[in-house]
Amino acid sequence: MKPHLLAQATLVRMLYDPAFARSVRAQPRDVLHDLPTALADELGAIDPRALRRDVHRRERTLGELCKELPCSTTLAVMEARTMSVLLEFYGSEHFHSAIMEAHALVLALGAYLEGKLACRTLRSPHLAAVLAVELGSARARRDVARTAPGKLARAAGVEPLEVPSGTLATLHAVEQHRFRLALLPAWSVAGHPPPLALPVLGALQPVCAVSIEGDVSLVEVEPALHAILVSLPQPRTRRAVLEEAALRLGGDLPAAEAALDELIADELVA
Amino acid sequence: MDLAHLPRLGVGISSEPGSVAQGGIDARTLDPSLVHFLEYGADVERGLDEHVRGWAASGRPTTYHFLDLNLEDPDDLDPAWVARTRALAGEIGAAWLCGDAGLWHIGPRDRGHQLLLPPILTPESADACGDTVLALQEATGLVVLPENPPGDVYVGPLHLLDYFARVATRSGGGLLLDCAHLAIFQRQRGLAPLTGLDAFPLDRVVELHVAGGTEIEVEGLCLIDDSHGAEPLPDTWAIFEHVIARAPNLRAIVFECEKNAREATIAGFMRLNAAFPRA
Repeated sequence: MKPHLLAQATLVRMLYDPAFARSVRAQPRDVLHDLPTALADELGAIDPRALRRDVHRRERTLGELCKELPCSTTLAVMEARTMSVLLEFYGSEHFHSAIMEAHALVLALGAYLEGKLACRTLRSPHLAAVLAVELGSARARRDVARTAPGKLARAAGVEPLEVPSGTLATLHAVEQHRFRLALLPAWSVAGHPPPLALPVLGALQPVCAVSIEGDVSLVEVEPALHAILVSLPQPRTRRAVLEEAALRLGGDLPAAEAALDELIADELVA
Repeated sequence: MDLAHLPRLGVGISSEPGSVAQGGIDARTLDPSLVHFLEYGADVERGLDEHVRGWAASGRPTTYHFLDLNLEDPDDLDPAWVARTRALAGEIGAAWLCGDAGLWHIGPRDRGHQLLLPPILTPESADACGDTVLALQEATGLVVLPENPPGDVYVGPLHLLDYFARVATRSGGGLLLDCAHLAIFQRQRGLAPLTGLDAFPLDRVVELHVAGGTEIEVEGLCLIDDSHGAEPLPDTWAIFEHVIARAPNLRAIVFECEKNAREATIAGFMRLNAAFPRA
């Protein structure tokens, strides 16, 4: 990355992450060793009050990102009982990497929540299920066509997922709960918000998020179709796809072949 | 580039998607002897609104101000964005393109990625900006005027005016000088409002912006908020008066005031028209 673009990215990180800004101020040349020393020194010399001028910047951006992960972020805050579980995203490696590598922040926020689940800081199985759907939908929305000569690839916007039965009912319940809270925003500062009853989750089921011009639909798919789709994270030869899918189907190669042909006919694989 | 052939648009007003629907000034209701063109600021995601479509349909001039291109980064100029921007500008018959030369979005154009930071004031950044301007002009066939952005923080060794002088040298093209943004920069650096203008290529200035600002204090730090109020600060007027007397290729002045009460803006429009009478 060119120094001026690296400096811009660093400034963005400083604007959103006060702890990072403090570390830059304390040791600019060490923390920003990839930058020319003059630029590192200038970034380290920024008056921190100027970085705090837009007092709502962090919340405003987070609010935009939460629009794509509405139920996941609701369940995360409900479990943690503090908004800091979301605001701490700005101090995470997920956020900083997304800025430096020019990735979508909403995907980084989703990965951050996945990390919270993986390390058991958050434990809700409903959160895990809902996050899989919302993050899968966000990925599908941003997916781009992958092609390679002589190989098969999933169509852009097709994202296979596995979620417990009851996940869609959970999404519906959380959406209704959010709607109810929005009717009376003062509820958000009440000590006892209205209760949220969540359905029981069951066995994993194959589903697929399909994005068409940004609108994502979630559809249930047959196990054989799902096996093909998850065997195609990147373009692969027909033989390689069928071998992996057949393994996933207990060695049923004919079922894999039939499923692949069906997906090709439906233009979900090409 | 020969700037002399560009049309003289006169004094205009700014507008953004949905600004009229949100209570902003409908430019069509303003005195046509005071307001001659509309500068429409948008990104490809939001596109055109009925206000600018109606203005353009009446045959009156427009310019298109992009809000979603990082001029410092030539890689941000992707073909899909160029095609959509060219189509939007073409639909309203924009006389040229313009836009702040800074960081409009973090990484990809995506939800939650929007912001505006000034460029890093280094020679390398200025050269990259000039290269993007040139590439965008070639891709669209339209003149592109880079604008000096506002900011709470400016990083880099160059004075803002030296930076944009270098951009113009690199691109060979014109410039948009925002007098209010320059006043913000000068105040932050502890400089007088006109510092640096003596060495600035004023013959490259095609368009000026004027807008109100608000002096604010953040934990004891004095800053100017680019609030786009109806009353420009004295520093902004000082810069404006200095430049207008020395900019032979000036073609347009935008009063960025659409979010104010209509009556509050009349005095500003009258002053701008007096300084830049319609040919």
